[in-house]
Amino acid sequence: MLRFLSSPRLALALLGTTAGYAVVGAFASGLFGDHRPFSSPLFIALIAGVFLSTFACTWRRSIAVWRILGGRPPASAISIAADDRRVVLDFLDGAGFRLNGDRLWRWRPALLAGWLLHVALLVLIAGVAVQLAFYDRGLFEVAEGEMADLRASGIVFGRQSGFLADVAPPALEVAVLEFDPYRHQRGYAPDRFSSLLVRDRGSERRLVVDRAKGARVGGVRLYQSLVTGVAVVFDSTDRTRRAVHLAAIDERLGRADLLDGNGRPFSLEVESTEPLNGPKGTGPVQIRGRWPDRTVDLELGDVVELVAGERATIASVVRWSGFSYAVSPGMPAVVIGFCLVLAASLLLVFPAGLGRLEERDGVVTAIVWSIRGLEVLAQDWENGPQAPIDHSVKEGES
Amino acid sequence: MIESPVIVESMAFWSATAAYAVSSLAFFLWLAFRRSSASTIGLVVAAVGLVPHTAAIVLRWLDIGHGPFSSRYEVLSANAWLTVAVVVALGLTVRRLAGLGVVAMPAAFLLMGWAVSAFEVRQEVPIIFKSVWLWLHIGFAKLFFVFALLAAASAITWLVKNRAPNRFEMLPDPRRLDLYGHQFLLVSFLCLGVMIVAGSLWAHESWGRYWGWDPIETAALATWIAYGIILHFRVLHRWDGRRMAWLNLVAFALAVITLYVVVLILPTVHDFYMVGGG
Repeated sequence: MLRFLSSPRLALALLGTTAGYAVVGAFASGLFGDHRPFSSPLFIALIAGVFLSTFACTWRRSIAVWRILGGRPPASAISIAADDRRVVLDFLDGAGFRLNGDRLWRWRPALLAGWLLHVALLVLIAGVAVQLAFYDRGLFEVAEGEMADLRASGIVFGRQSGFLADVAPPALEVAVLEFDPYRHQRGYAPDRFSSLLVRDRGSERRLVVDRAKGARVGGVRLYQSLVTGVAVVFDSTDRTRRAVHLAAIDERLGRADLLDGNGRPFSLEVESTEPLNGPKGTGPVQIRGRWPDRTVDLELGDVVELVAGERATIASVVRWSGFSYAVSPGMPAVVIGFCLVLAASLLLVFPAGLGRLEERDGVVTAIVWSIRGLEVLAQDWENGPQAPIDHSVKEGES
Repeated sequence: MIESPVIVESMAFWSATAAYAVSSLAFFLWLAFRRSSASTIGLVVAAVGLVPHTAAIVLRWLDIGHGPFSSRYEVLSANAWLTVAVVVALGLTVRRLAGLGVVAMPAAFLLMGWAVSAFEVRQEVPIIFKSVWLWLHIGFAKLFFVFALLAAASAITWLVKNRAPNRFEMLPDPRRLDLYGHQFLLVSFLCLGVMIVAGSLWAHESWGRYWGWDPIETAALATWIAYGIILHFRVLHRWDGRRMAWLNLVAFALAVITLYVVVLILPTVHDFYMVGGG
């Protein structure tokens, strides 16, 4: 079984199929809509296959790699022999080999490169698996002056989470202290910028969030998203404050559909003189309540009877902003996997090698092996000042 | 007296383009007439061309307030600059590698020609560019292209040399060219890896997800896997010579598709970097 799993043909077939699937899946997803090709059983089976094949290959090659690291050249090593020890050592020194005892090393840590790259892939795939099982992310909107409890009903939407993630969103309460949809930071195009107050298990923190970077609270990262609009803030008789977020109907009109105190549907509208989401601001706005049989112009301080007999005073018209949160428990392993992949890829660049020096009957022989370029090394030796010695003939004579 | 920095930038850009054209010609003459002095001239002219090219890049940088990563002109011009700089550095340190200029310099010249189609585009970058990962992501994308090109150049010269070993004596012998090609492929594999990892961490920092199966992300991952497969053929199946030369050319084609083709034909979050021109 181990032999089958570690076969190079299987590894190449799995890698080729995975690459092909990724290309076809991503392009088909782009052309025909998101059918989640990368969470399909076939793709997960492919990645599991890559993991098992990589694991088997790494396991089988471990002994050979540690043997080489211990200074024992593999069978494919070549012999370089001369009567003069100095000639052999000078030649190998010119090729980057350094003598240490009776061993010659060239970029010794790089002997581990291929093996380390395989270990790195295992760590990376394991990290991605943890991430897929436990990740949690969702969207929410908060208006200035409003406090959003992410665990309250209806606050988080578009939530996606792994099958082992917490059933509820993170226990955070988020208020927007300041939101600027067109903050200009030197050298960059104007973009969203927020200042947040976040309550996490009783402690409060003030955070600055722009679209360049999320802010971290405990194990949760908060991100500024693009969406924004206007909201009408109401003060209720029970001293709670709520914001009704209006959806943009056109460039200058925002609307939310509500129920009044009698349970009849009506639309709460805000019409602006400048574009609602324009960089100059909205300009003067008109608040309006639109019932099927009448339309009422409203002002700040007016009382509106909402569903369930709740009487609420219009306190202000502000801007709401969209945010997202992300919980990524697999990221540490993913980052470690990334670091190992890069370290191994860097080591791959160095042409590591080793040699063992032997001296018999006045002939100095170096048994030399390199992860690449062995033929060029042999060719350089043959073309060099010292003609090759037919070692086997000398041994036979002795 | 010239007052407009745009005119100075344009003149510097065209001076560099002309220098790269002359350098390409010198390398062709070197190959055709086997005069070693021609390759030296090609290398020197390329090095001289770097001076106005650097000036053009710096002037644009000062004008728009950010590095060369947000339009077709900036990206391709910087890629050409890096290509020439690496070829000159390699040619000066390992003289035998100067011959790769016969492929790399015309490529740099073509990049300059494509870049100029978007010379007029000047734009501010999105706020998500305010990240250290940007420099790693974009910097290594450029290095990835350069080393993939050098691997392809080694492969092409291997194929040329192998066809008529005695006619092109000034090129390194095939075994050495094969080794250089493999070495450049390994460096480009590393650069592609850093590009993907840095982009992934940048995406996580900006959007809360490290991977989104964006067409460019997918193409880069598929290319990285393809490079892995090629390296397997080399290491496990001992492929070399002609087969590796062709595989190096396939690797370069994948690099070009990932960096320059996908962005032009599919909607992607990366589309800002090839904005402008026809």
